[in-house]
Amino acid sequence: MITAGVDIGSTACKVVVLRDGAVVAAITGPSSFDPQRTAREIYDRALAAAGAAADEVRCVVGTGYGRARVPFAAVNVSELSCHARGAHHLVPSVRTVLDIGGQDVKALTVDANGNLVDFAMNDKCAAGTGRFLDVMARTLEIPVEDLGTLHARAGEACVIGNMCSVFAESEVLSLLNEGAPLPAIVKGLHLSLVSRVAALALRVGLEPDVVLTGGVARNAGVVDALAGRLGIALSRLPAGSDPQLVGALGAALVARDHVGATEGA
Amino acid sequence: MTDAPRPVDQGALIARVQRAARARGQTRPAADAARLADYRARLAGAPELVLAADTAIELGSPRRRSAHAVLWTAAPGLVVDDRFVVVGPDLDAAGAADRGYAQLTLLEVAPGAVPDVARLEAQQFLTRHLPGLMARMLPGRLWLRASRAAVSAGLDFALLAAALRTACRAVAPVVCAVECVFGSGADDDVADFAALAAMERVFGPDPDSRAVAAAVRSMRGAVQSLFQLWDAGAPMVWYNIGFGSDLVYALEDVGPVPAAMLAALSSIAGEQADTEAFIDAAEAAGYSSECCSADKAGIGAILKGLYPEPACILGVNTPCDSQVSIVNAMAECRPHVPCFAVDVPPYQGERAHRYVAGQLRELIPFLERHTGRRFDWNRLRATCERTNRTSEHLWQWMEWRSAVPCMQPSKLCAFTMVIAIALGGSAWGEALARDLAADARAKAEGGARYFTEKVRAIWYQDTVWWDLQLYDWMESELGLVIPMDVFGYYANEGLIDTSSEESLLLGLARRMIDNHPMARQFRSTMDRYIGDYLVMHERFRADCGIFAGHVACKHAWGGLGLFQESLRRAGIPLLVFEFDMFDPRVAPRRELEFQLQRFVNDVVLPRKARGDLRRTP
Ligand SMILES: Nc1ncnc2c1ncn2[C@@H]1O[C@H](COP(=O)(O)OP(=O)(O)O)[C@@H](O)[C@H]1O
Ligand code: SF4
Repeated sequence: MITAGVDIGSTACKVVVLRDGAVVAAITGPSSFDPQRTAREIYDRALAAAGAAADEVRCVVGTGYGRARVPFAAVNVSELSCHARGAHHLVPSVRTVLDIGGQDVKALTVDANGNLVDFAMNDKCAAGTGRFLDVMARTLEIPVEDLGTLHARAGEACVIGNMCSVFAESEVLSLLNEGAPLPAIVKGLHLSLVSRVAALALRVGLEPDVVLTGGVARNAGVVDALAGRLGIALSRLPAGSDPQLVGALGAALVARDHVGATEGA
Repeated sequence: MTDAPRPVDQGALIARVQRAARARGQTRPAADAARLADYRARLAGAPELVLAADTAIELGSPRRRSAHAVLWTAAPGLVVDDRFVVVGPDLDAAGAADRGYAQLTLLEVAPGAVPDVARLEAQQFLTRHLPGLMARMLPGRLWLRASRAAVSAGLDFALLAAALRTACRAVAPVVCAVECVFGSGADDDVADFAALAAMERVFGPDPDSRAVAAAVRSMRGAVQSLFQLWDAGAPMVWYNIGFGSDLVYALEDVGPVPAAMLAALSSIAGEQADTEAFIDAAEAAGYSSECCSADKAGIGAILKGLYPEPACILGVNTPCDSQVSIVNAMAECRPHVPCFAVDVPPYQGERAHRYVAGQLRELIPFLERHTGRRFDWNRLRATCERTNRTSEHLWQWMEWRSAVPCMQPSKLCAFTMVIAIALGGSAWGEALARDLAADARAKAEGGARYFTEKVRAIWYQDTVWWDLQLYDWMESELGLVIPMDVFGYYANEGLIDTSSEESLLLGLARRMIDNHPMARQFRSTMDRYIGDYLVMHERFRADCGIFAGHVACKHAWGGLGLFQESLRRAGIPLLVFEFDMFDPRVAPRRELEFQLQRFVNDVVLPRKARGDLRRTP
């Protein structure tokens, strides 16, 4: 049985295709001003990668910020439930999911069965989100993909007091002018970001195991800074799984449940 | 207007509008199709924009009153198709008029059909399809301009009625009759229609509600009696919302003016745009934007000279910093008017009650001196007895509201706050409390239901005053009901012992410190704040809590972490959102809907289905 999950985030569109519960394709692409078209394109690419025809797909679940704009999705499920489902599938002992996306950050608590129990989120400002690092990376003229490596090279971190991207940007510019080393600035930015994420995590009551998801979780520097800040080890996803795809994976799993439920009924 | 779905028939309100309009205006047939086509042909190509210089008639401009609503019913024969009623001069006769404007579109829909109200409401503003007539929409306002060319080509309300009828039928085939009401007369006439249009906002899906009618009646009664006192030259007392009105009502023929009164009145039953204009006026004059919008709106209304002049001013330093600011502002705006400030101490209990009661005793000769009215202990006793009876009615009311399912609209909870601050000790307050209880009882006993209850939440903190229909939306869209809010529940905890002068003052002091909405919550410890929630949760068999975080309640935000933690430990889901109770510009309705929807659908309903909520057995 083939099912698919389409996660249209504010920054990236992710599609996961499952064949009999195993991931056969996973594609990420940038979101655009036309979510409908983006979803279609990335979905078609994922189907091609999976070697599946559209009519073989039994159910598509749309999730994420732009989920209402996935015309080919049979069901719409909120990203909260999908992240919970996807994270629980990968790490069954998970109780807290921290999802750092492009424009929002969420803390979710899940029960032993992967059901969403509570959540807290910041979707009002860029502080604590991928956007914060995207803006800073642009200022520093480096690709976001390099942030993790630079972080690993830093000794002491620079202190960046502002969590607001507008003010932090001017702090970064002064640090650059003062000749502060780039790795130290990057580490300082990560520490600033995770202080916001940690506050959110504490709001839902940080219960282990804790899993970090979302595109920003691909940045090893953020993972390191957050673990340090929370004083606990974060659970690793199984080798080969991409934290940015957890929401889409959850959606594809919900799609599989949906087929099961309708056929069972 | 809002885009809220209104699945319930508004026949009762339509009948009310028709009665009001037909009694004062003339009923006429709408123009026929040939006349409409002929007019359109004559003005074909006329510019869409009607500039001031080309304007023959201006109706409902921001200088004037304006009201509009689309009401529908499935009751056959109530709405008379192809007719309109006009109160005031017709467009051709109005000359170069600049007048207020009311436009109410009454619709009959096919039995069982639920019309797309949002699309139909949009038709009100599409009157520009009638060439030479430009309609503009501002929040709560419909503003028309007719060009000279249009008036000379015969533009009149008959044509407008025909155009509206065609437009409504075109977008909603379920519409089978359209009757229009136009008010183009004096501002006062338009104001009456504005009240009816606002009633539609207040009544929402429960148009026959005795309770909502009572709320409207009591507020109107209190305002009218204030006007009578004002006209008769009676002394007025301004006070901030930390005070109850009881002590002022204890003086004969003295008008109580809570400074935030116009914020509440314009948001509930007038124009929200006015509340926002008051807020802006206060901020423009330099009052801190961090202040509570209730107080900023109050200051704005004072600055605009909308309140009767005070004989004296009463202030109290609870429940928050904003109250201290507004007391200062009132004193600053009226520097020569005597001001008496009551100090509520930071400690709790009997000692605090005695300290405040002592100040209330000093307040009596102050009030006598500056109002020129003699204070009478028997009158105070009678007022306090009335306050006690009001409390008892409200206890009854809460009994009925604790029943599952809740049968009365959620938004009614808001009115207990109005009673405590503006109507306490008055006949209006007592009547409202009695009618709230009677309506709840009648609905419970009669089994009247107009939504399916799925989730019950305790509303913690301030009401969304700028759109009480949000609560109707919560009921119809999410099945979410608020059986009670925290301010209302604790406002009437204690009765006043009326046996002696001392006990009367102590009772009033106790209410002011321990029961008055906001004072109880914001000047005591977080333990009490949390304990109060848990009591209500059990009592009303709630599923979850909603922390409606008014931005200015900084003291509540300060303790939020403790509150959240306690509820999490108790297994109670809590939604926290930020908004401003009188200013939708901080977080608009769509944002609140999104938050409520996500919370109910993603967290509460699934948890409830799994039996994963703390519930009273
Ligand atoms: N390899 C990477 N290293 C660092 N950041 C990354 C990497 N890949 C993606 N990101 C960041 O992840 C964010 C997008 O995450 P995602 O979870 O897809 O967000 P959304 O769902 O809101 O679109 C962007 O801010 C992007 O910069
Ligand atoms: S709502 Fe909050 S800020 Fe406003 S008066 Fe009440 S306690 Fe103060």
